[in-house]
Amino acid sequence: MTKPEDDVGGATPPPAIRTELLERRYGRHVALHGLSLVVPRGRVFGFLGPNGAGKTTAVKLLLGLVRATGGEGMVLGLPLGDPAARRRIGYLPELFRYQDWLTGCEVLGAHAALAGIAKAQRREAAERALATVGLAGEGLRRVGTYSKGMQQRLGLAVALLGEPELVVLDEPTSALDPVGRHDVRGIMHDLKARGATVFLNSHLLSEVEAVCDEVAVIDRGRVIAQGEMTDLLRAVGVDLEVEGVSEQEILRLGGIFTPPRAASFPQLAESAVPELVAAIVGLGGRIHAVRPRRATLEQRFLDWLEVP
Amino acid sequence: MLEICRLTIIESLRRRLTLALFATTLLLVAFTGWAFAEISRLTSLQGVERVAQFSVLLVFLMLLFTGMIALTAVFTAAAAVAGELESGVAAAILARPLRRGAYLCGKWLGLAVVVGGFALIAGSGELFVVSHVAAYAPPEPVAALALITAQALLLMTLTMALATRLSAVTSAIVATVGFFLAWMLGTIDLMGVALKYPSLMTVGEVGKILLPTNALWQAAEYYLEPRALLSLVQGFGALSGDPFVALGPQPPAVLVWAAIWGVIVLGLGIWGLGRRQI
Repeated sequence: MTKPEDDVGGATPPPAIRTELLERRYGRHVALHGLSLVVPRGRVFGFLGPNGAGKTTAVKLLLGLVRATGGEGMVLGLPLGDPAARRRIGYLPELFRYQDWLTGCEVLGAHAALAGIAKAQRREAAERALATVGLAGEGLRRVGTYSKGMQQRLGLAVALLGEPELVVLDEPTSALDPVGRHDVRGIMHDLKARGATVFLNSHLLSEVEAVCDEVAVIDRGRVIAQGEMTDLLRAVGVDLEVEGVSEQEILRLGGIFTPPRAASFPQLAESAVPELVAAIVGLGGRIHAVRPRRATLEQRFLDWLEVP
Repeated sequence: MLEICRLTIIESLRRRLTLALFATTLLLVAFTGWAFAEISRLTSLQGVERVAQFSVLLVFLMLLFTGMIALTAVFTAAAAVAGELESGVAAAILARPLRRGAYLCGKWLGLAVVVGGFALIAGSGELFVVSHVAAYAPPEPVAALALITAQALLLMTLTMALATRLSAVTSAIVATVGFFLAWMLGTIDLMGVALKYPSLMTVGEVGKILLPTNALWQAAEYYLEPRALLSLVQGFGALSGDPFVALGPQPPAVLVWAAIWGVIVLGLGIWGLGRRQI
């Protein structure tokens, strides 16, 4: 039986999301297989995986839109699907659809009412959300006349209503142009700055790499990798352009020299680079460039999925 | 719940459903007025015979009207529930701190205002125009209209419950078939009573329990018929199997069961929606 997590003396609030062996089966098909995850508060958390990995199922389980068939989970210290937790969550669905017969302001007004925002504050909350997503001045138009990108921006505005503590964004830039994607990155930074947690489900690895503090990767319903972005992308190995040192000296330092002036140290940790540079300079060498071998998230992602 | 009710009513206005229903009502009332005026002008019947003629015609008209209201209730409810669930609009709404039961009850309330309002306004228009052009008024129009409206709401409830788990088209088809099946079983029941065949009567009774829409129609039908005429024809056994004549009121237990049935079906709808993945 899941019980609300204790906030010990109010000093250590529970994590934004905690799941333990969360599972969802559809008959014999397992959509999500034992998801165990902790998302700390105040972070931008990337949730990655190939198509059909169970990402959207996981998101819907967290929001109580789908019931778990196994395991348990807490969101903002409350059981999954608890209305009190949902009051503090903003959500942009992957397949965003809003009432096309309402105006943008009316959609936001309805969601503000459903979110429990006081009537006197709804208008201001709606206008602020519209301005945040770049739709200021468009609120009186029917949603049916919005472009797809505008509808996704509206969805983002809906998710931001009432300054939620946790914002769940499922592919938030799928319909946006590069400017829109840049804007969304800015919004996620702002959310983090005000202490909100962002749970970002996205296929766009460059976007995740740019904004997330931490990521989890799932495949076939299981977490296959999780960690801090800086750790996951930590450089291993360094390439130098160097003059004034011999091939033997480079070999002695653990590197490989390729004339005329390329030297590479494939096993060197990023933290050891200053010592290496000092050693080469001490030998009378002149260094023109130092390039740590930094992995991209895409390379890491393909490694995790064992894609050759 | 009230916010969902408000949105449902606004949707019917913005999607021009209300306008369409209003235009349909005008057309229906105008055509009815013309037809009854013509019959009134051409008929040579007088006295009780004239009353009998208009009574049967009015019952027939209201039976067609009931079918029209039923189809309106079915298609409106199917689109409002299954349509919203299928399109994804419901996903954003149900992620809010709103219980699914409150969501469905809000929809029910909003649709009840639209469908019930249409049934009452259009039905009143029909009865008014008939009384105006043919000088014939049923004995208890308010009770009759209330029962016809209740029948539409019952069918609307069934469709909503089905639409929580089935697609809009499937739930509409199942509810429509159910409505006509209930009517057929009701007619079989009348034939069973007339011919004194217990098996037919049993089938009719089972029909009333499974879907009491036709029982409500038969209750309404009784309130559309002049009492004097009924006492006159009660001696003629041939009329007792006629689907256009109700010789007596429905027992109160039937009406109570219809109300309980509606609550149970709405409850099943809430249960079905609660178990559905959005």
